[in-house]
Amino acid sequence: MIPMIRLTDIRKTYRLRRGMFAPTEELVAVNDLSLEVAKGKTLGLVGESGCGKSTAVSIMLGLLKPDRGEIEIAGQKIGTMPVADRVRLIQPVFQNPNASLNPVKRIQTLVGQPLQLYGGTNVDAEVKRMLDLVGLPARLADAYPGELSGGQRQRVAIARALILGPRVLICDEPTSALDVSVQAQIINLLLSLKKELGLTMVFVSHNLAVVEHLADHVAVMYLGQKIEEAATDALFADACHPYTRVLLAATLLPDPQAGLPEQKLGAAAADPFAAHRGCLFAPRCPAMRQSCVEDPQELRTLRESLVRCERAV
Amino acid sequence: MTEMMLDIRNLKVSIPTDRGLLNAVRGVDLQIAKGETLCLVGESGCGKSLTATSIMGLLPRYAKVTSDRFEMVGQDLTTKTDAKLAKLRGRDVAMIFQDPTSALNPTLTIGRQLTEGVMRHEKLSRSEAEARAIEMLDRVGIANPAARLTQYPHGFSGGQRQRIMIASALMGRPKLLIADEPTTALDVTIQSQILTLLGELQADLGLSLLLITHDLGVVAAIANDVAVMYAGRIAERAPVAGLFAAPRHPYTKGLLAAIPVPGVTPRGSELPAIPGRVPGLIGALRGCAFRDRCAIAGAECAHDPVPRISAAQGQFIECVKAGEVTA
Repeated sequence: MIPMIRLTDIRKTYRLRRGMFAPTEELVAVNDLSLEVAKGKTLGLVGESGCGKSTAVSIMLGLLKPDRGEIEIAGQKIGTMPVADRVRLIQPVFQNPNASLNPVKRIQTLVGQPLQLYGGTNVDAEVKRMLDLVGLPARLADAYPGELSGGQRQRVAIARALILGPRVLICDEPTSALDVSVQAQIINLLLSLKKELGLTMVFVSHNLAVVEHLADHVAVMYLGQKIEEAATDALFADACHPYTRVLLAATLLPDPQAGLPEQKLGAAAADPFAAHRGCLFAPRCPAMRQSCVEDPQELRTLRESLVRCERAV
Repeated sequence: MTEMMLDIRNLKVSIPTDRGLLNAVRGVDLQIAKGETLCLVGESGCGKSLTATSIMGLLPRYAKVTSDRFEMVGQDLTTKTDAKLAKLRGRDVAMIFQDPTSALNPTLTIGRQLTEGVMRHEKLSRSEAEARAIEMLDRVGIANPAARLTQYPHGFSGGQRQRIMIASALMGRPKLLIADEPTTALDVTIQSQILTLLGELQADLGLSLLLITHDLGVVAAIANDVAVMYAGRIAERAPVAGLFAAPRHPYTKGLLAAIPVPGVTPRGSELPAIPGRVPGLIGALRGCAFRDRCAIAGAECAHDPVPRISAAQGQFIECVKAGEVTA
């Protein structure tokens, strides 16, 4: 069966200066990233800031061109596809609905806009159907984003993403800007939409608890590389990569018995410019050996995980 | 009787807006004992940051702040003057903010920013102040501190900048440290390092810590006592273990239930979300502010004032239905 979304060996680099007068240097934002998501499944994409999550999202949406590699959605390459076709396949929901919704446009216009732009008919009726689908009362069609709560605005963003009937929904930190009580409402909505519409989802987040709740499988990224991928159960029960373990341990649970996790990470921060052949996590890794820095680390199968670490057992 | 580092009664903060007076903090009581960590937790707009900023006296003049009692590090500030507060700030009381990037001046060296306060407050010489800056940077885990005094903030990572902020707060050897979302802008691995550091400092220096956060994971990890804030009032205050094991206020219960917990919450199950939204705080608000979203609310919840049920050691809950909640 063809996966609904497939990324093959995606690489994206930026040329940046570290200081005003410094020479430009190459920063590898995403390196050899391959991912597959089957129809109706949810992939969780996790990692800390600067790990390449957002670059990967922009590439999937066709907003950024990768230096090399291929993106296929429903078996069609999106690199050469007209925008009008692409937007009917894949749509985003972003982190901050305050920033992604134009404050001077009415909800009716905001939700209907994609349909208007890409030649849809019956816009008013469709907007009504979408508002109903995401659990917003029809009377809000005439409101402005400023009159809505954060949760309602995120519902508007979801309605707008769904009005073209996409097969894939990319959610980039959709609940990070929301309060806990509202976050639960949006998670419930995404879960029911997934079931109702058979949506395939990529859920990007740094909140592992939310990812665990929503995703069928999880890919962990570190400085542009996928360092581990596994089914959600396997990853949370038995993570193989030292970085995944650190990440899981650092996630604070609402349980006073758990206390603060002991951190075995070195003081070094992740340096996206650091170029060496071996493991990118090695400078911070509690299990580091000399060979980690020298030998290129390939993805390999270990138990139920795909892991990029020669020392993982 | 334990010594109180902070004792505030009936704190109110109102802000004039185009649509009327916004009563953002509507009668908050806060007591923090010496060496205690109190977490003030709540959702955006509940008034937790305004409470902290008003304690520090950092609100703009148009904000109306009143209280029945305001004592801090043994000083009565009920009739506080700016001069009195300015003396306390940067010495006995210090504050760290959410975003270290915007709290540090990018055009001044770290050394200059760390020493400025104590040179002014304690009349230390530059070399004395620098010696203390080196001591504090070392204390917060910045390697090779002497050499780094001449560097600018951009030379440090986000986690290091927050460490510098903490060092800067410690320069005046405070007794009370107020931290407003100190780890929200940081990655999770860095977050636990910073929380560990705050815990160590507190134990070593006998600091009292008022930590403001919306993250219940942070609360569970670091608090002794928790105050849950909703719509400008404290709905429940309890020791951390009790609050998580047996929350009593319907809002606290709702909050705790709404967080998915790996390994406990069944994957893909519907989460018990709290319906509705926070009430507007412009003008008068009668009765319990949570009643429109509360599953057990009844007619009596609309009456003022909402009764406070107190227990030992400053614990309380404000809910007329409290008896039924525990049932």
